[in-house]
Amino acid sequence: MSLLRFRNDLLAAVRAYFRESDTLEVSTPLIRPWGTPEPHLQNLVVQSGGQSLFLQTSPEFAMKVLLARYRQDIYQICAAVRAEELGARHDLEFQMLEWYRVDIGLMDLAEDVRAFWRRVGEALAAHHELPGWQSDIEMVSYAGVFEAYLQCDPHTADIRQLQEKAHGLGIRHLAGDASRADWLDALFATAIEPGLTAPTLVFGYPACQSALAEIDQDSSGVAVSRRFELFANGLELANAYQELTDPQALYQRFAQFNVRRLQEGREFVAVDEALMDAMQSMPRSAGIALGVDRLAMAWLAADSISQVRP
Amino acid sequence: MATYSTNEFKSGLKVLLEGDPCSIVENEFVKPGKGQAFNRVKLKNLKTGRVWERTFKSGESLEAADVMEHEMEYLYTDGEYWHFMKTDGTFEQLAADKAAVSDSLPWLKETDKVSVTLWNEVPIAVTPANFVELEVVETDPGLKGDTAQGGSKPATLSTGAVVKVPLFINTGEIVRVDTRTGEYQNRAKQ
Repeated sequence: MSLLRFRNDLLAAVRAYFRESDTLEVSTPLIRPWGTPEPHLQNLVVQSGGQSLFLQTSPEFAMKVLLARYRQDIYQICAAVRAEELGARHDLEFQMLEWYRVDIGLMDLAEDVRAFWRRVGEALAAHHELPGWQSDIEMVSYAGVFEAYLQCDPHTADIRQLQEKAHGLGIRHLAGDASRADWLDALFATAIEPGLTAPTLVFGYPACQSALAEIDQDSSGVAVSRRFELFANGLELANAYQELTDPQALYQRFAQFNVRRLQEGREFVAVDEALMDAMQSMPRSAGIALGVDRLAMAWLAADSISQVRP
Repeated sequence: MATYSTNEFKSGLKVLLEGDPCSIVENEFVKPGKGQAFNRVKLKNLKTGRVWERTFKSGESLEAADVMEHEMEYLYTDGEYWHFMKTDGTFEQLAADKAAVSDSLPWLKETDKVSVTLWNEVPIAVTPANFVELEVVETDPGLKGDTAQGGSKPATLSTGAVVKVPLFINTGEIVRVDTRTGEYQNRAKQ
């Protein structure tokens, strides 16, 4: 069957999944006056009438505005644009599926993702060959996979240990003043991610990698972020948070992001005012962004994003 | 000297890394969701033949390496150097040291054509043809009537290489060997 049919059926199955739980499909603007200040996401900026406008790196901020206003489970399938990301697994523009659920915890969202994976996969498998799909998703901790692949504890290892591991693996792109999060990311991407071929949810990311997720303490008192990622076929597919609801905390994260940007010679990105307003009434919620092209790559066992584009 | 940026890295490009000439095998852009982007690059060190895996900052540059490959004819060795002659009509001769020829020594036969890799005009590696024909100088006597199936035995070739050959091969015969695997292919016509 054709790729065109596959992509059509994939979206149809996604929409059917959300219809059952009365999750509303929304459409937020691709072009907004604010971009993301996350240090390692680069905005593509366009000009209109002398104003700089940002193509959205994900619909996250705009969807959170709706989430605060309507307090309703919502999802969106849309284009996301990230400057400078080009490669076999990346394109400047890609299709993203993002959804938020009100008043649920991160583990509820993990169950939701497992149900999504099973149901959407089953619906597709009825009509398509899915060499990379299997119905169950494993759940592992970040510390657990780090221990298994790198024999060290990502929460307690000192930065020199991480550097030594990295150098042994040929990681030479980070300068001596790179942050702990940088070393962890590089190690994870080099030594662990390629090995995550079976569908796997990794949770319990170190606090320094919390992005916009809540930070919590695990049972042993280690600060971990309330965040998980989904991997399959050696690819990162999705990233989920227990969303920050404290406006002050979000403002501080943005400030830290901008400090980081300036240190790395990147431009300052102004705070999203619509999002900051919405944060005043943000409900407890969890959300996830899933790359649809990546999902297609994983399920079709494709090596490059171009192979899954009709 | 020219330089190449990571976005120009492609298979076969010759660059300098850690002082050694390398050929790029594979270049992959990696971007952890929330992490810093980088390029994961596989490079073959042309002096040692070993493949390195290294990461590079996206946009980082490497100096180009002046690496050329020439088809040449192997002439002789004086014990210290191995002498080759260009086959492009110039009859220009070059001497390669042991480090450059060591990997190909088991397959190097006088008057055979080989590929010589030059870095800054100095030979650093010699690659024999994929298939070479060499004389068996020593092997256990063959068994009359033995056919292709059946066991194998070691045979020493004129270059000193030892390969496994079928039982029916005798001393003095010429055999064809795959230099990439070191495996016997067939008996060559004399």
